[in-house]
Amino acid sequence: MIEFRHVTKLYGAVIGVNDINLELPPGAYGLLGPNGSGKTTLLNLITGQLNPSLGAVRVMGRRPGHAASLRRLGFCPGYEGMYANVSGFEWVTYLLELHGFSRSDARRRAEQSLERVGMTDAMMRPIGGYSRGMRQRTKFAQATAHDPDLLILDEPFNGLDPIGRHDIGEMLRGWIRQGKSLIISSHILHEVEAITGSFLLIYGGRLLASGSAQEVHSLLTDVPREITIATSSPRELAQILIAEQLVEGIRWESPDCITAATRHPLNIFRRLPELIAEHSIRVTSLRSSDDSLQSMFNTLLRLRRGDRFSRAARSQPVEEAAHE
Amino acid sequence: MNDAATPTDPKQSELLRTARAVVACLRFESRRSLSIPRLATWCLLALFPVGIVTVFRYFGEMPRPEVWALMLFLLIPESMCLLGLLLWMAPHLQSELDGKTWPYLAVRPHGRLIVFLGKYLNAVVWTALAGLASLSICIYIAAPLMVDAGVMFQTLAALVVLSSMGYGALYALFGVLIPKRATLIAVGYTLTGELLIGTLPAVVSEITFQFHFRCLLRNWVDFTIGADETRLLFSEAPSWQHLAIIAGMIVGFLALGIWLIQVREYSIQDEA
Repeated sequence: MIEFRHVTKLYGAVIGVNDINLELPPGAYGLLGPNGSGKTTLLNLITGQLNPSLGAVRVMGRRPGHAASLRRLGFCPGYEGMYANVSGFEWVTYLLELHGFSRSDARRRAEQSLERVGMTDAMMRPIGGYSRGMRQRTKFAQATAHDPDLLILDEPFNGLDPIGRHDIGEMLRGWIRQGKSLIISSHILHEVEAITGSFLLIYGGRLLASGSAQEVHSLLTDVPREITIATSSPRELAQILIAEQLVEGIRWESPDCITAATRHPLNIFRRLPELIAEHSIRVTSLRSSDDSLQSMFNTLLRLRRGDRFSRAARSQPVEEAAHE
Repeated sequence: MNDAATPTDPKQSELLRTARAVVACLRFESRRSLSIPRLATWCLLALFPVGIVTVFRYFGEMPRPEVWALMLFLLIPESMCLLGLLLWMAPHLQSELDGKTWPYLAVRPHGRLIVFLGKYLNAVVWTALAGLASLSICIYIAAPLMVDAGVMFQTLAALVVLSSMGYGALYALFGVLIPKRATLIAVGYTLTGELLIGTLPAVVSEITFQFHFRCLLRNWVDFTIGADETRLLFSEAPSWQHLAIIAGMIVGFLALGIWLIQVREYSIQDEA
């Protein structure tokens, strides 16, 4: 469906995306990365609004921006940018007419599409009077009204309240159930995770990882997992964990909270109760977030940045580490 | 491609679908233009030549018939139309390209071409209609002092349409060439190119629209102007030649504008 061959996009001296090699078959993908990581650049390369400085992009076998591929693509930008003085119905009808539909077809489809997103009552009102959620629904309606094969959404959850997020999430899950393709960019990981299990991690214009959650987890088998422990005696506990060779590094989160990095988290879970009993250390909470996408994302980002957290910390005496 | 994604009858040619989309863009833009500020501007624009002609007609000396022709030519196709297009062509295209609506439009099949032509036609129609309304009232006021008001109206009406199309194409090109400075460039060109170079009694003036419009005016209205003045400001070329050059310039500017809008990147939103 989408192919990137050594694609680099430069904005003058600034790199938007850097040597991206990627082949995506039809399906649903979450594009994850922090602000400025290159997500929007990547999406704009797919929609043909940007041209690669190096390399080549193919969308459905054609160059991006080709009329035939645009006909099968729906795009929902990350910002609103709709005319305030026209109604949602007029706006969607107009975009359908630009898409090539006759006026009567466009009006019929616009009405159906706005109805699907629950905008029937408000669709004749000017967009300027819409709430954020209503504008988001209108954007979704314009992107799907022509029944595209591939839907691209840039940060669709931005600024939405919980109900709006839930509704958009439901719409997207419905879209996937129809067998349609989807690329959704976001930095809200749990919401993307709730929609699709396949994702692309991008940071600093580079693709860090791609594939299913399991595939990315497999990349992390040799990566230390993190366990955050809140305790009344963090320094003493850190010394014990290092002396017992249960951890590979310790990081101070706050005066009464440490994060331990380990390749064998189960060993800590087994030994910790007896150790804290033996040394009369009070532990108020213990948390491992290793199964979440957030943890995976953070770890990959640190690896990408070359942040050797665990090894660096391991080589330091606990006293020195404590002052970091 | 599945059936649902195929808009309209598959037998319809791509060209027909694109043409229909251009008409849709023109209709949408015209509908958006029906606002009180825009209509007030339109009225002001159409009425300012009328005010000047009224003053000349009732309060000034009676100009010679050929001076009426020149005055109306300078007031309507050469001033009012330029002002209208300065207001409605380059800034509107610029605001679309700079604004956040562009990605919605550019991801439609041939969307860039459609929006460029739709906005061009919208500016031309609004300007030409203001020009024709203004011309009709001016001719009505000055008709008793003209030798042949009918010919004068036809000539100037044709020049209003040509002026709207010509300057519209040029300003549309400025709009896609340098979107952030389009209006400034258009004003700069109008002052130096059309008003200064265009009125120079030299060959260089032939590169301006004004020169060819002026020559058409002289060819179509029976002027009584001295030989020296004619030699310096007009050419002896037949009307078809001027029309061909004007048409060539319009097509050339539009083609260049279309090419630019297709190949350039206008996505300038903040990185998410």
